[in-house]
Amino acid sequence: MNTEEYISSGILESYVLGITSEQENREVEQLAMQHAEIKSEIEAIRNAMEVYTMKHAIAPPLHVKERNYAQERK
Amino acid sequence: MAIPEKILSEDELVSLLKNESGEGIAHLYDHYSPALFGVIIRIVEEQETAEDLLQEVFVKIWKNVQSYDKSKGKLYTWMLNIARNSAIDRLRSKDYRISGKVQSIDNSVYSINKVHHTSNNVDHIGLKKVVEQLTPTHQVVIDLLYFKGYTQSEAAEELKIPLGTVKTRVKMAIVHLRKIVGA
Repeated sequence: MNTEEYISSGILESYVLGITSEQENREVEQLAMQHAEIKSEIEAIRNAMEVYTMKHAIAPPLHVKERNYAQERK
Repeated sequence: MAIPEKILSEDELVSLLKNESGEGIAHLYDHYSPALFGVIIRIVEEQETAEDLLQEVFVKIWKNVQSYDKSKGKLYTWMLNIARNSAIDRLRSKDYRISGKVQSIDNSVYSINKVHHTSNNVDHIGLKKVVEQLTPTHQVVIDLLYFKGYTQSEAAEELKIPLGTVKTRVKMAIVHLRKIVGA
């Protein structure tokens, strides 16, 4: 298998977005264990998506925090 | 902005949480609730539902932190999956109609942009590097797939573009995103 071609196919992006099938997930995970480039590519994509989610951070209202603490003490 | 008393590494935070430390729980909430709430509200687009879900998500995090396995990924990745899955499940359980989804996304993007961003809370993650926005074309694809749990075929149908175009846009959107965040 050509790793570069695999990386540029777009499947890793789909994998990180959670839109690949079970079978594709297994394939990606298997290949990630065998090829360091694929593993680091997945991590880079995941990191980008995570920074994107942090960019949209919104502080929840204070009462949610209070409810959380009340819940935690139960 | 509340100044954190000290900076904890993810490892330190995880071990505090696994020991059911109050400090760990407080740190978790203070540092991650804005990011998780941002994701949840983007998915469900309803303040009250989002508040409800955030609480549910934190309970799930506390209850399941013992099974969190660092070798499988970062704590944030793990928490993000819990938040995203819970919110998408809720969205589906409410049986949101397929029609009008895109419009509501446009609305939510618009309304979220109006909300004051609490980026100060997550400064330590290096957020300031993120100065640009995705183009609207890219953003809509990411929103449908990542935040709404659409399949690529559903997204193609919704946006009335060929499946191949969806795939290209996903790829391009993430390439662009990685440039923006320097990943």
